[in-house]
Amino acid sequence: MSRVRALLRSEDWMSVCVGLLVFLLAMGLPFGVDLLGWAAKPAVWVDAGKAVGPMSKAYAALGPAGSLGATFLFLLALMTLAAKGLGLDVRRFATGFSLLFAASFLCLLAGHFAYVAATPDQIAGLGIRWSLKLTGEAGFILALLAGLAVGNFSPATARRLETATRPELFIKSAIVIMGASLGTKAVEALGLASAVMFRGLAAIVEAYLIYWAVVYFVARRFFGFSREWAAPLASGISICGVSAAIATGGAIRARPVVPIMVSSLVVIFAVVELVLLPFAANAFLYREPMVAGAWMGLAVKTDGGAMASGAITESLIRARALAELGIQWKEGWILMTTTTVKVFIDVFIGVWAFILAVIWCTAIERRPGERVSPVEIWQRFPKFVLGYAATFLLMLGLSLALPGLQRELAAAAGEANVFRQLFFALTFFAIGVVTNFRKLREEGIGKLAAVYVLCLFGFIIWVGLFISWIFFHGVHPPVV
Amino acid sequence: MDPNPTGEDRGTERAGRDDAPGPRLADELRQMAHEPLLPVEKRLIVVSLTLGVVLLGVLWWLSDTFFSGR
Repeated sequence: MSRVRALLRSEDWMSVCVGLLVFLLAMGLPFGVDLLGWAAKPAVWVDAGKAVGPMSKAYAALGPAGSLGATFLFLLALMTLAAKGLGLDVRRFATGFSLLFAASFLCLLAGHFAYVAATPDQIAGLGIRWSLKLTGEAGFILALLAGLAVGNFSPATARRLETATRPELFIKSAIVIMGASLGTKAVEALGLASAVMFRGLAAIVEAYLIYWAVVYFVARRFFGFSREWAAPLASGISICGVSAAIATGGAIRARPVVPIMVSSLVVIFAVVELVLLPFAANAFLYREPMVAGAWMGLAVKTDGGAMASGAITESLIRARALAELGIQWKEGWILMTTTTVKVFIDVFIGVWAFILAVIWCTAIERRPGERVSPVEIWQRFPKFVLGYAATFLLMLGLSLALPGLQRELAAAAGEANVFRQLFFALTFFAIGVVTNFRKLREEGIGKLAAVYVLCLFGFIIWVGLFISWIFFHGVHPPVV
Repeated sequence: MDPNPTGEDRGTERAGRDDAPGPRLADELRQMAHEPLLPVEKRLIVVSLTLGVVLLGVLWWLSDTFFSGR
């Protein structure tokens, strides 16, 4: 029992619990019990009274206020329970989470305003003449900007929200939930889904081998960083930011300050990438949407940032393809590509950390008699990936085994997806709140930032684009 | 077993938010001693890049042959 409690104190395992609970509740639908139909789903709106409503018609009587209230109370209870499991101050968490939810949901609603979000096929139906065509995902960008404003201009508010500001918990829960909808999508095109899996794996093998070696060399040779700094920096810039920097720091026995400083930098630049790359992908890759999706996974260095970039890229590119090419690609495949790449990257962090630990232990710092156990691979394995794999495989298996229920299973995944969207919005806002540019400048981060900027914008982004292009060009999502 | 050996959760995701007094990064970097590249590091870099280039061809062929997705 105490072991279970200890496990639940990690956000990684807690996100699995949160995601699986939402998934299990959604799974009532195919079996005749609609347990999540009351969830509030934002819609593209002109009339504010129609901006939100319950997901299922069975709960139409709740109206917008009722469904929103139910959604808030459900998430508040669920996440407060999670906070208790994590050993956080429950009262502070509940207060902070309420504010976080309110701000994130408002941004989500603002992003669904018709003049911002409507796609070409919606404009006439909404009775408007023009729109920015950003889709409802524009709400994520607004949430990020609002979070950045709080984090950088209102430090007192940021401190009040601190206990509840947990982007990693939010995004990992979202990824576990997302496995279900990706499972139902994979059934629609199994060949394409397996191609995305293999190509995603191939892309990250390449990224690990090429990125890490070059960044490590640049940091050591041209910037004069010591091995203790260069290895976590190379992993942080080139692989998957925070987790990789920390895993590498542990593998080579760096002092804790090293990966923490690197992680700070990673989070900051992930925000910069998040703001720039989806729009670059939309400008140049709208004919190659899967390349764009993989690129987000390879280039943006935090889970939250990458998934968020994938979501924005998908909505921008789908809207543009519909407007300019007359092609309506099925929703979810671009984001699935980003997710696949990112999940494989996360899975391999443990393997890479293990390899580095062996090399450091046996060749670089030669500690006689010291051995590295393969158990370390499991210890560093990101556990939320298990939740993602479970929901994905369960939904895929059920859809294949019960073809008569495929529609209901897809509807169940849709209900769970409402919470995925909410967790995304919370992630964006939280990323903004925790990103404090001024504090980093005060730290004197110049030299570290220089190597980061040089490698990221001079090399990583472009090699990531090249690898994505090699493995994903010519592969397209199914057409509606 | 430590359930979270990477310690990746709390704190690390708070970029620049840590108000606790600690070593300044600028001081850390100033105190960094010069360490020349060891032959084993050079070998690690070369092997990694060579493997990357070779596997690029192999994986591309495998993708195109068995997982075309088109």
